[in-house]
Amino acid sequence: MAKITMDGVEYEVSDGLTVVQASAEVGITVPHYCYHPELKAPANCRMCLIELTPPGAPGPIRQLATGCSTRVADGMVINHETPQVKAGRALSLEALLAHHPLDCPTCDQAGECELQNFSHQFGKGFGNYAETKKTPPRKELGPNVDIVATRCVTCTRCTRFTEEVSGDAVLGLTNRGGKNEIDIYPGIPLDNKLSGNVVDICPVGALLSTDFMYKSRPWFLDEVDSVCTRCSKGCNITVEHRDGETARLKPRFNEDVNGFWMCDDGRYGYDFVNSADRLRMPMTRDGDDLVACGWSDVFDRIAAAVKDVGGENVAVIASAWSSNEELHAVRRFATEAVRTSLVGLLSAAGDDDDTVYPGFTIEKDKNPNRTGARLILGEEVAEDAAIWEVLKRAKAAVIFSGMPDAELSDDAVQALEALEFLAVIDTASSALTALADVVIPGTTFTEKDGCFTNSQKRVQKLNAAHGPLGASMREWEFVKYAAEALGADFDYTDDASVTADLVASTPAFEGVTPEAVGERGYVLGSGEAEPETNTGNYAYAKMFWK
Amino acid sequence: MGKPKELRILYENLDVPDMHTIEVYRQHGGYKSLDKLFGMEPSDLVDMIKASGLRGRGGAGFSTGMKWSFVPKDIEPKYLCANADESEPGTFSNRYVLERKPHALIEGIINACWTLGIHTAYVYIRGEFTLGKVRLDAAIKEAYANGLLGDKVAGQDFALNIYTHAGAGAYICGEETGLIESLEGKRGQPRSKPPFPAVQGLFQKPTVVQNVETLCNVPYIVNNGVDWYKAMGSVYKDCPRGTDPVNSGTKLYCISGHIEKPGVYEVEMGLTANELIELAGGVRGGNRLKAVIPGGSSAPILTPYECDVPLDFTSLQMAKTMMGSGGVIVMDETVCMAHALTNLLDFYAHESCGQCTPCRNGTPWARDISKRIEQGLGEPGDVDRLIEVANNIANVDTFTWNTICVFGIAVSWPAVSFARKFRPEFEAHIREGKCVTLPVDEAVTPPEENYAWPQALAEAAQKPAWD
Repeated sequence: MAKITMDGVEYEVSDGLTVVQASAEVGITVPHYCYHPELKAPANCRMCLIELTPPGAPGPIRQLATGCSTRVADGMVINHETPQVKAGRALSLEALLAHHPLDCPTCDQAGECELQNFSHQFGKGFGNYAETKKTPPRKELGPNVDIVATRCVTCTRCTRFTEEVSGDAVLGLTNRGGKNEIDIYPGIPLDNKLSGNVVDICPVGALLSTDFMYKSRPWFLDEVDSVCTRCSKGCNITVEHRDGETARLKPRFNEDVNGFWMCDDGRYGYDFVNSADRLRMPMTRDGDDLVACGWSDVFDRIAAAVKDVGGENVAVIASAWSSNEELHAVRRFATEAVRTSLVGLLSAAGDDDDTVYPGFTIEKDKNPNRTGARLILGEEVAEDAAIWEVLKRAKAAVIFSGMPDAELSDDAVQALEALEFLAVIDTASSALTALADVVIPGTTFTEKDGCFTNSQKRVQKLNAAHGPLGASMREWEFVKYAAEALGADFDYTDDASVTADLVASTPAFEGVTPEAVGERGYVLGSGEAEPETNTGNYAYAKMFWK
Repeated sequence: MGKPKELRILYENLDVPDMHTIEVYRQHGGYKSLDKLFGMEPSDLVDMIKASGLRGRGGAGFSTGMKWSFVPKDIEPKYLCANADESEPGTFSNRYVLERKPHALIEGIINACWTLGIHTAYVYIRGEFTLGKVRLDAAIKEAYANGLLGDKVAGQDFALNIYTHAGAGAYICGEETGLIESLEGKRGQPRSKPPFPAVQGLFQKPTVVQNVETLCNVPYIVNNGVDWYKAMGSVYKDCPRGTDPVNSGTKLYCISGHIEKPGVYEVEMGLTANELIELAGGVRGGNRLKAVIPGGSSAPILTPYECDVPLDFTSLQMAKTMMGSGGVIVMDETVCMAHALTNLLDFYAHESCGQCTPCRNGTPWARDISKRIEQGLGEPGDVDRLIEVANNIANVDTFTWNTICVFGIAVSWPAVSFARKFRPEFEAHIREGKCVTLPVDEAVTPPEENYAWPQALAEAAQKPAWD
């Protein structure tokens, strides 16, 4: 810890922090545009000005220092509110706003714009600029990102992101001085899998997500903490939603998992949530057609099928896209209600290798909870192509899917068509539902509570952003009633009761409590939960990363 | 001091035919310093340079010996960058060294590198200096061939290689960290300091960046000793704290503009502006003097009333202007000051690297206001606005700046000094709605109303000297 004095008050702050971070740690906002804790600090926006007295110096340095490039040291004295500092910030803001079009009414960033926020808090309320404004054109930088260059404050966070994190350096400055603009080299678009992050780090409305463009004013969005489903990394995210629809996903800071970033596969990979093909009603097959039916029909037909072929001939296939709780319920369903040993794990096809960028890695396993599934179903559970062998030994099957764009091999189709009875739980019409006798509408990750276990064995919490669609019910509820129809009694009343049952019956999950999981997750077997922290980048993220 | 006269040391024998060849350079005493140099301890040499009072000729006038003493001894490799990116408007003295006496620079580099234990030196040459680069490259080749560079410099157990690098035409690459960035192959943008180059410079290693003229002085000091060097120039007593009172040696003054005999004059430091003008044949056609820029276009302008100031680091600093690069620009009574300022600010708006906010947006802003005034489109209050906008980039009254590098000062000093010292002429433009050139006496702000600088300077001097 370093002892420093800020604005006349003594504080103890973590070692090695920049003044911007240290100030955030104690709750003081230091305005800044160019600085980002994960990127180099060029000190170019001149907003984080501070009056600095280095340790042991007789008085403050005459020049204002920048809080982004100054690291705290024992005995340092910092002032954020001297007249010189206030004037310096206000003048930088005036200069930044000189060419700004002030088009907040039509700007997607309005409401979450640092130019607005800092002008409101630190600006002088008027500008003297009366000359001609620059009007650089709006440009498409890549498939996911547009630039409205008139709003740009040339902080170069985005160019440094492409240099240091994505490593392809596709963004750069063209021209010089007042004429400089963020741009790509002609013909080389911003098209890497981390491109969406530049929109997050853009402090103003210059870089815009084409996915979110004109979708909603940000202040109408509600948000919940969640976990990304698109690979086994389990990036911490915030689901922002409105009127029962997911509007966008944004990365949420977790030092041990994803830092400040997430990949575009995850960021834009929520389209299946709002898909028009979503299933809203249970359905049963009538010839070539699936016909909507009541829930009792579903349970009756499953119970009848199990009775027909005998429980030991029914395969239960769980999904690597299900939460720990759902997987646990499915395991119990297979062993205690259906009484079968034919269990498999359906998973989405992965990549051959991790996708590695200098500052971020996208994992090759494209399932959010394979680790949890193995812990719950057992390491020896049939996975990938092996599940079709399991199905070939069965006469009926209940398959949990919930993964978008699942593709079936010829082998799989053959195995499925040979079944006498097939029940599929899925979120949308798919290759699986096309072959099913009974189709049960499932929930997406934005509609359920529960936990995923990522590749680090870190249990992380999902929170339901909006309720199940139409008549669909959460998977554990479906399992409970289906088990009841088979004569088993699962004493589940809510999500927490399933979690409690999982933890009580699965030794690997010992210690998993809502408190232990918290916001940062709980690594299985680590013994004790990492304490919630409000230091360093966590404090920074809370203050500036929303 | 009697009639001012030139004192040629660096420029000695500059006009001798083929002086750029090693043969002729040696005939005239070239590379003689090496005999003494390699007999001396590097630490003694640093002390010697410190004692000589040699100050960096690039603009800031920082003590060269002091700068060298900051270089860590235990970190390898270290680099020397000779700054030959002479791009300050009104400055052209290094150019003639490169074109006519390039071996003087090489000799200076060898001296500096031995002193600092550096084995790699880069010369960053302004891209426009085509002949200078050709001559220097040829001279370096000759030096290698003659065993003065390479693995064993002059037969000593000391390796030194020199590489030349041509700039691509950016003023800001003359700023030491901008130069380093450019040399590393990046966009020429100054770095935020600290760390200073002496600690972390080129390729993150300790780096000394010196102006060509500074380096060329070193062999003469080594050769002739500290006393000989200190006998030239001016020394002051009773300077405010934080002001270096020593101005040793000669200075290459580049005098241009409305002057009878423009060119480079090597003179002992301490000569006044008026004397230098006299030395260069006086103002053209016997016209009246209207203004003098004493140290390259970034230096605050002097009115005719102020031209008795000695042209050395200390006096010019006390007069709230600067020695800068020694580029003296003379303007006679025909000059429209609004036009002159617009011209300068246009240059700075073009050359601003655009990295930091105050300079990127402030410089074109100041230029636009100045341009409007010049074109007769100014409005009442525009002069104050111009001063305010410039002061917001770098405040001339408090000597503080909000920018990453001192380019901000280079913009605001001329802008504020022009507007304050020639305010009547700017106001006349606004009043009349057209370009007006007033007679000298009417154009200049009366000395008694002339800005509050001396007082601000006195206040600044009360601040602790260590920053």
